[in-house]
Amino acid sequence: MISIQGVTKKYGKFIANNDIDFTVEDSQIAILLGPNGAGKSTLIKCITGLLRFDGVIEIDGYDNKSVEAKKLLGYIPEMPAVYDMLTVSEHVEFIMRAYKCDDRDYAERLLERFEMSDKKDKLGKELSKGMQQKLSIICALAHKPKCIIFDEPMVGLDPHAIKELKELFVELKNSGASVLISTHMIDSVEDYWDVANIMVNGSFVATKKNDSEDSAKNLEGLFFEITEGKTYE
Amino acid sequence: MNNPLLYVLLTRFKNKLISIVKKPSQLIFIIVVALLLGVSIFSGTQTGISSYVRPVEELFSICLVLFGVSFVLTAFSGISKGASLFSMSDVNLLFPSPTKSIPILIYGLIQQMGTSLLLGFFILFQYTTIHNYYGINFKFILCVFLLYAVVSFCGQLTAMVIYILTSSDDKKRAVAKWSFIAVAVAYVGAIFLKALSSGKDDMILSLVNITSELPAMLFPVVGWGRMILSGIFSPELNVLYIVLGVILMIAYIALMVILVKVKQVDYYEDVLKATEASFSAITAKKEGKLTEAVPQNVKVGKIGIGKGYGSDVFYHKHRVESRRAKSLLFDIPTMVYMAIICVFSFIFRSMGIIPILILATYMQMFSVALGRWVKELILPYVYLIPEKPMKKLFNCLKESFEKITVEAIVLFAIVGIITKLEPAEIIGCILMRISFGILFTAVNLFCERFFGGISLKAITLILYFLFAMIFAAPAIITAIILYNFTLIPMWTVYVSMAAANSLSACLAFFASRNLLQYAELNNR
Repeated sequence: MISIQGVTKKYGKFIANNDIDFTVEDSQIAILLGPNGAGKSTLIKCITGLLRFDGVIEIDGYDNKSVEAKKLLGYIPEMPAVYDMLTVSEHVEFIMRAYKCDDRDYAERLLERFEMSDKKDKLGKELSKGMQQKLSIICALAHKPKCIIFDEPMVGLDPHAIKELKELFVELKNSGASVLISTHMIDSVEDYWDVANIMVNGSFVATKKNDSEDSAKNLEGLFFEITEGKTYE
Repeated sequence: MNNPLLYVLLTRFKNKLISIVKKPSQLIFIIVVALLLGVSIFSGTQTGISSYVRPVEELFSICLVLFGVSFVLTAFSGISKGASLFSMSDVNLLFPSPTKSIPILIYGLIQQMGTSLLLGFFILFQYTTIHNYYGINFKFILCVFLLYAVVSFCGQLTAMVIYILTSSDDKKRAVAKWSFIAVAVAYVGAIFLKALSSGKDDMILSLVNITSELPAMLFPVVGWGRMILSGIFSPELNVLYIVLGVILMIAYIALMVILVKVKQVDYYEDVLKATEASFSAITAKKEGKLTEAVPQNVKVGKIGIGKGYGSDVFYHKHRVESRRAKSLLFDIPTMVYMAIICVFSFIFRSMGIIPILILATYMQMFSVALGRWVKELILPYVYLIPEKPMKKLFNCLKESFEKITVEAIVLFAIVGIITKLEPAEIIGCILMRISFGILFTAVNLFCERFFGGISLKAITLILYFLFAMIFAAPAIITAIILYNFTLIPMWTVYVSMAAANSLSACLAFFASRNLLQYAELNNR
């Protein structure tokens, strides 16, 4: 479970996140929606422990900066994070060693699912942007984290990878993981979200649960109503 | 304004000025730099001239070295990685526009000239020292500044032309690159051989005499720069030198443009790749990130990291990366620094080890910043991996420490032989160098930890030098006291300095221990 209580992040006088409260339960997919500059990535970086903040963030009851919390966390950044001089297989090896994880089968399966098995010996710098994004996803998931945070994960992916990733979201949810996805592509998450939080100007302006058949449609309407002040049918 | 190129040039310049006024930090920085420059010029003029004025020909030769280093390094780096006079927005907006390619090339050249001028700005600050030792006026330093800009510009232009002419064939480019280096080495080698064979005891005087001769001054770009200086500022005005130097420079630039025009009018494709590369580098720099000079063709070799469990894997990963980056024992900048120190030791061997140690330590302040650990700060892994920040930090620094140690041993073994030091003194120097290496690494970390978020990187650099001096002060004070007030052998002075540095480094490391706790602390 990811728990965020009263999180505020300021850059000088500018408030990027203003007193944010929410939780992502086990076996739940939560999405963060909002226009550009709403503060989604900042909030995600606070959760992953990359930024300082005021408030409390816990990962399965552990302070998010603790070693215990880091063991449980997987983070897919907005920009692919790969090393130029390591091959694809070495990235996986690096993660397994760094997280002291011995089960490599899952990582191998991820490589196959994202069609990266035949690129194992390619260097990070030789991969296209989309492939780098796939590798970034594999690295974040290889150690089987219990809480996974995706920041705009679909950007640059090919249709096959998008399909696999969507299936993976559901699998992670079914395995009991807490999944938080930040996106501004509403249609990319409409099939599987459980709870959606809409952010504008650093604050949560609406939280909606996926409890009816036309929730996705309502979500899109709600989003535009909030962000553009217009009512959509 | 009908000409789109002129419009872009002027509008960008205007907007740059507006942005400077709008950003107080930039404005303050410019005002501070202008004030420092003003003070430097004023104090230089006021302090007068040293009782013993060194011959101005020596200064011309120093300028030759400055021009040479700038020209060769700019051109070599450009030939290897591709040089571009254009920005990514030029490529995307101007190249597809209905404007002829040659006016666009000239537009690129004008832009580059502006950048080259900025590069040489540091020269103006040398006025006080040069005025004091050589008795020259401000016109001289201004002239050196302009010539330095022209030489850098020619280096960039040469790189671009060679890159365009050889881009279709990797072998051709390799031949061009190494031929370029061979010519430069042959020029330097010929000067040194001639100086050695002159049989004079004063090596510096021999080098100055040889570089003052016409054949040395006919060497492209670099020699012409010296020729112009010599023409204007020698005790007797030499109009022939001035005219010849200027004509040769203009002819060289024209020849480069003609080569592009005649050989391959469609230079867009060749420039594109280089522009994309420099765009990524500029974007990374703007974001405060560091980019690695990755070789174009990497030999992967043995696959697998093989060792490490937990944060220890960073050290083993760094070794794999360094092997692939072909950095071997030392990277190129480190080897250049080492070569400079060795040459300096040879020339000034009669003056003892102290000036060499001062120069070596000064240069070390720049070289230690090049470690691989800094690159880890760009990616999230080092922050996310579940281990204590201090342990991760140590493992990220391990490779740097290893390199610092090996470099110190190799460098001072050579310097020790050149200057005929006792074995105990050599060991003392090695220990001192290692300690300074560790200290400067610690100061780098300290600055990342406390000032990494400052957007103006020039200020961060100034703070780095300031704190380097503060943290190194105990060792320097220890050395001054021991050297002046005791009769202990020199090696004990070096060892004492190493001990003082170690304590200072521990303090800096302790203060920076949470560097890897948050990426924000080094929001580069």
